[in-house]
Amino acid sequence: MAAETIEARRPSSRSKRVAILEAATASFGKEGYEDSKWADVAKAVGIGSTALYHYFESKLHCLYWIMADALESRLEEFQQDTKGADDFHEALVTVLRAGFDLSDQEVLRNRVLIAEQALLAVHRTSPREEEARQRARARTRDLEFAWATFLARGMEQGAIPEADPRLLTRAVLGLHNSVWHWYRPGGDLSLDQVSEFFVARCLAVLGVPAERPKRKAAPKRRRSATRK
Amino acid sequence: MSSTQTNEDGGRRGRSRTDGVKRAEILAAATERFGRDGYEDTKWADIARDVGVGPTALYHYFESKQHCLFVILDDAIDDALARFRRITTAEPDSVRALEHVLADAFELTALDVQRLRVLVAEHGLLALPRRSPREDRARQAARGRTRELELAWATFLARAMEHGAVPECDPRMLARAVLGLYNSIWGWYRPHGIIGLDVVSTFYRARLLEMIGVAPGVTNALRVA
Repeated sequence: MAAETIEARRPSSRSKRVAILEAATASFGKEGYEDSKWADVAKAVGIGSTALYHYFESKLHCLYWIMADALESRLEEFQQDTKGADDFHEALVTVLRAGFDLSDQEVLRNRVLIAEQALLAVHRTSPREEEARQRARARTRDLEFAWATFLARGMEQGAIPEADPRLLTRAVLGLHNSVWHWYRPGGDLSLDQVSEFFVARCLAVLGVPAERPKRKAAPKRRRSATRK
Repeated sequence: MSSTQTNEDGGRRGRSRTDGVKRAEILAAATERFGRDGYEDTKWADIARDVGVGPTALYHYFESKQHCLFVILDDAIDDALARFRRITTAEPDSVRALEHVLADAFELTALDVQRLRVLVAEHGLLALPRRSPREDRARQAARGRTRELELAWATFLARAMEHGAVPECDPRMLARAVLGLYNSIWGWYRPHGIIGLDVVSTFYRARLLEMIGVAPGVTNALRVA
């Protein structure tokens, strides 16, 4: 994974980094990025600011890591779910459902990703910040590209109506992402309800007649991020 | 762009005509900068310079960059709401009203687009209480207006469902889906970019109608959900 670049070498160092990322995700997701105090994140993990600096140069640097990691795991999952699938429709429904099959921690991460999206557009002068920003941007493009390729394949097979696959990708991702603006774990709508509703809407946007969905639960996650 | 001058701090004291003009100029300059360079990276002093006022004069209109942002967001939503209401009250037929609303939602100037870009990018800030009373009043106004717009859409959709024009479902969730899909455009669309607004309009209006379930052929599909 490209995530393990410069600093994450020793296992202890890596787990500390993971702990910081999790604490920061919780803080940014609940209180908002702007209002979160970097010092509070250090306190939550139990390290001093000098040690914190070893992992992340700044709050922004950490934010970019969170975003890049979120995109990276979405991309990986997308590729796993679509690779070698011969039934396009089935693969489509699987990836759409997987987009809502999330732990609370992952929901928070999505919220951070969506809420602070605009910060990805701005060039940074600090090399470390800029490197993390570029990684997040590259993964955004990769994810869009993977979706567009997948949708183009569906069009070739006649499984979805012809359209500009890039615009269609943006529409589907845009609709999916919009959920994290308002969805809160433990609110009056369950994630299952939201999933059922939005998967059907995504299919409608794609112009796919929703066959009776097979009602088996989506496959459980295999990634470490689920542990929270 | 009806109530730009009235919706925040409206009754504080009678504002003169030039006051209102200056205020609108500041809002336009700030919208342009926030939309183009991003809110965080825009300096409040740059906006003062754009409009040719000093920081003290600027303070007369807005307490802070954040205060100004909240007013921009409020204006953007208020404008969308006014347009939505104007069309839906004038047109009794739900499907035609829907088509008008969607067409109208893409009738935008470059400045309107920038304002929507700011709205979508900085919407999250509306959830966070501010300590300054003026800022927080502006924040709450914009936040309340967001709910009003959602509610107006949900009410409209619920009525359309009653009339059988739109397939039955949870109208609040459908309102969120409609607004979510529409708003997502302003996360990537830029005025004068490669893709024209007319292309985006045609594409998204068709998708929005299919999602709501009024396009022929999709209606049955949505009933399953």
